[in-house]
Order: sequence, then structure tokens, then C-alpha cells
Amino acid sequence: MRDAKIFSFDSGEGGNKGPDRRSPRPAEAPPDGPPGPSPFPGARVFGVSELTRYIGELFKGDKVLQDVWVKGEVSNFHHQQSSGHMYFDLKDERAVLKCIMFSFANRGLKFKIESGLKLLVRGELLVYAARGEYELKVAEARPEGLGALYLAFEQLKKKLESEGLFDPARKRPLPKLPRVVGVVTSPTGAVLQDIRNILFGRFPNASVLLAPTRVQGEGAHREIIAAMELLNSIEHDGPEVIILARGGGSLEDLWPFNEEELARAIRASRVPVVSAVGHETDFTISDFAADARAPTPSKAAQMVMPDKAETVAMIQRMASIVRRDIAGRLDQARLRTDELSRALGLAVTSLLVRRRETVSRLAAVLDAMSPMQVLGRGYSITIRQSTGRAVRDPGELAPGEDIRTLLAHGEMVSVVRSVGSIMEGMQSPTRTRKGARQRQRGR
Amino acid sequence: MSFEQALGKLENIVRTLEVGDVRLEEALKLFEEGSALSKQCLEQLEGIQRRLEVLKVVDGKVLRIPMDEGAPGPGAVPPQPPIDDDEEE
Repeated sequence: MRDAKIFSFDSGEGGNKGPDRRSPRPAEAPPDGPPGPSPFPGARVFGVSELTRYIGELFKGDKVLQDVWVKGEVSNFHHQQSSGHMYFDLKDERAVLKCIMFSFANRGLKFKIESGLKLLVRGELLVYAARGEYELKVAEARPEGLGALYLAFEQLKKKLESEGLFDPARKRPLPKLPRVVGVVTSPTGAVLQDIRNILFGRFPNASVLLAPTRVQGEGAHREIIAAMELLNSIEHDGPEVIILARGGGSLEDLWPFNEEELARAIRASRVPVVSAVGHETDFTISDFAADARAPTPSKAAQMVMPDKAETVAMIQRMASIVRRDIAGRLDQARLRTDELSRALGLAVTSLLVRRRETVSRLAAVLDAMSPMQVLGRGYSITIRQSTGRAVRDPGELAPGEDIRTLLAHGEMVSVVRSVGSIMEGMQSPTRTRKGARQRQRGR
Repeated sequence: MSFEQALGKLENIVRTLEVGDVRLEEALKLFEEGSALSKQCLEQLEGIQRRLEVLKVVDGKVLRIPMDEGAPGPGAVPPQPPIDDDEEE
């Protein structure tokens, strides 16, 4: 393209110097003397086809027109579905160039041509005899300014985005403990090594299943898709998460990860997919379509695999919180029980003490009032045997009746000989005469 | 129960107990459950068997072939001839 001349449809570029100014090198001179008979001297009459063919020959003989780069803005773009050919105009402010891009030429386009796009095309100028037009047969097209791949990327991203393929709601959470980790990457190369090291470093008894694939070059995306499908097809003990990984590279190198089919395959995966393609600054369509994007393959391994030691510590911490909690509660309950029983004990004890005090006080009172005290001072108590009651009045008794007399140191039973009033007898009504038979009994 | 579920339940129990608004009998129940869950989680962590395998399709059959773990560099893919792995029919 360096050595090819780019025809610009831009106006300007100096003054208008006539019809030929667009051609820096004049086309090769037409063959000497137009063919055919001439009705006028020195002149010759052409048939239309003849002239058109003549013009066509001129185009063919011109090196510039046979392989020329032209830039301009696309308009009237039409993609003929049946034939696959593309028809469009390239234009600038002042001129229009008809272009055709045949299906065999446009099949390899990474981006979509659309009206309004600024395009740089290479091709050959033809004469279309049936319409008396000339047009550019485009062999190659690239977006002006942006790279073709970049444009293709943006276009695909926009398309899939509008379809909702990147919708956050579609993203599945990664398992906290994948029993098998699937890895889709090249079997050779540092990427697999890095992933292995991280996975086993974090979780020594990890289970890793590699689906090897090419990760760059024409058709690599189909291999990548097949590898993912293979992992998904394992029914027993299959991966619970898939890492899709590739090391850094140019946009062309990473291109398989920008293919639409791969994006759809990622969404179709049964298990969540983590995309880790290129360096931190590289973004691919796979990254957007995946359930999670990791900036690098190593980071993907970190995201996917828990650190075993940390996880064990975390679980043990929770177990000990639960254990300490219940121990604390039991201690509390025990303490409370203790406290209550101690309080109860105290209450009972103090009640007993108080009762005991009352009893001894009452005992003292009783003691003070005991008849035995009186007997000790020389008094006695007479009890009528028949009733067992103390006698207060001799009138209660009849002669010949048995009475019992209680003294300080014993008692005796006597027979009443006579009964008198207080006038005739002694002072105290309780004092009886003791002339009677006496039977000393005990103490 | 999956590891996630067990871990999630355990976390919930810890949270419930930490809030503290639990009666003793309830707490005892949570304690028993929490202990069982933590045990189960730890068992699941140990329950994975260390493996490094590569998939290979031979005659339309998907095989899992152990990779040479000792290989320090990016080892060549299958170190041995395909041996039927645990994907037995």
C-alpha cells in the first residue's frame, strides 16, 4: 500500500487544474489512432460497444487504475443476500465512485461495511458496459482511521451487547469449592504452567482437567469451542468451572477470543466460565461474554480456587465462635443457677435462724412460768386422781378420795381424810394436810 | 449438601448467635448444627483427590489421561498411551 497511490475524494489539494489533476502520473498514452473506418477525414465513428470496449481497454492498460487505493465515505450500501455481493458508493463532497465487492472478496471481512463508514479500499477500475458506468471492483477494504479488527471488535461487541449476551443477570456465580477445574488453553506454554502452580499452590489436593487447544491462528476459535464443549460433555465428575486462558499478544493473536461463535459457546456452557485472555489491559469479546473476567490467567486461577489453608482457618474460626457462644451461654446459665441456689440457701438459713431464736425465747418464757420453779420454792401441787386435774379448792374433793401431790423432788399419793374451808385450815388452798398414809414414789 | 450450602448455613448460624437474641435451647440446637456443618465443610475440603489430567478423544471416546506432574516446564500433552481412566462405562 506504500507504493500504491491513494486517490482521495477530498476536495482541495491545490487549485483545480483540469480534468486530469487527480492522476499524478498520466495514464499511458492510448494506442495510436482509434480503430474503424472514418466518415470524415481524420475522424472515425465508433459503435457504443466499441467505444466502451475501447475505454475498457484504456483502463486495463493503465497501471494506476488496475490497482488503486481509494478512500471515501460509504453510502447506499447494499448486501445482495442471494449472490453475497456488496454494492456501495464511495463519495466525498464532490464526487461519487460506484463500488462492487464480490462475495469471494468480502467473505474474509472481519468487520461490517455500512453506510457512513469511512473506508479505504483497494481494487481495479472496470467499465460496466451495459450501463455505461465505471466502477471499482474492490478486492480489499479496511476502515479508515481505526484498524479493521478494532472496528470488527466494536461492531460485534455492540451487537452482542444489544442482544443482552453480556447482561450481568446472565452471569453465574463461581462455585466456592470446585471439585474439578476445567482449563481450556494451549497444552504448551507458560499459561498452563502458571494456572497449575496457582491452583495447586492454593489447594494442594485440587483436581484439574485440561482441554488442550490451539489459542491463535485461523480457525482456532473452533478448536476452543470444541474444547469447551468437550469439558461440558463430561457427565460424571466433570468440571464445575472452566478457565478459558491465553497469554498476551497482539490484537490479531487474541482474535479467536473475539469471535462471535465463541461468545455464544461461552454462554451455552453448563458450568460458569472465567475468561482470562491476554494482559490486564486487553479486553476480548470472551471477557464480556464470560461469567467472570480475570485480568490474567494467574488471577483466573486465584478467582476459581479457594486458598485451602485460609478456608480451613475460616471454618475453624466459625466453629469456635459457635462453640464459645454455647460455652458462654452454659456458663451464664450455670452461674445464674448457682446464684439462685445460693440466694435460696441464704433465705432458708435466715428463716431457720429466726425460727430458732423465737423458739428459744419462747422456751425461756415457758421456763420462767414453769410450775417446777414454784415447787422448788417449797410449794406443792395437788392433783385429784380421778380427774387428773389440779385441785384449787378443797371443796372439789370428798373424804376418802385419792390425791396426788407433786413436790419439787417427787410425788406422793394420799387419801383425803377431811375437807375444810380456808378458815379452818391452812392459808393456801393448795396446801393439804399430810396426816394420811403416804407412799413415796420415786424422785 | 454442597460446600456452598453448608458454608452458607454455618455463616448464618454464626450471624444468628452473634446477634445474641437466641434462647438457650435454640442456641443448643444451633451449636449442634454448626458443629456438624463445620465438620462437613472440612471433610469436603479433604474429600477432593489431587489430579492433573488432560482430555483426549480417541475413537470418539473421551479419555482423561493423567499428566506428568513432575514435568517442570510446559510438558508435552499425554505422557503415556491412552489408558482408560475413571470414565468407565
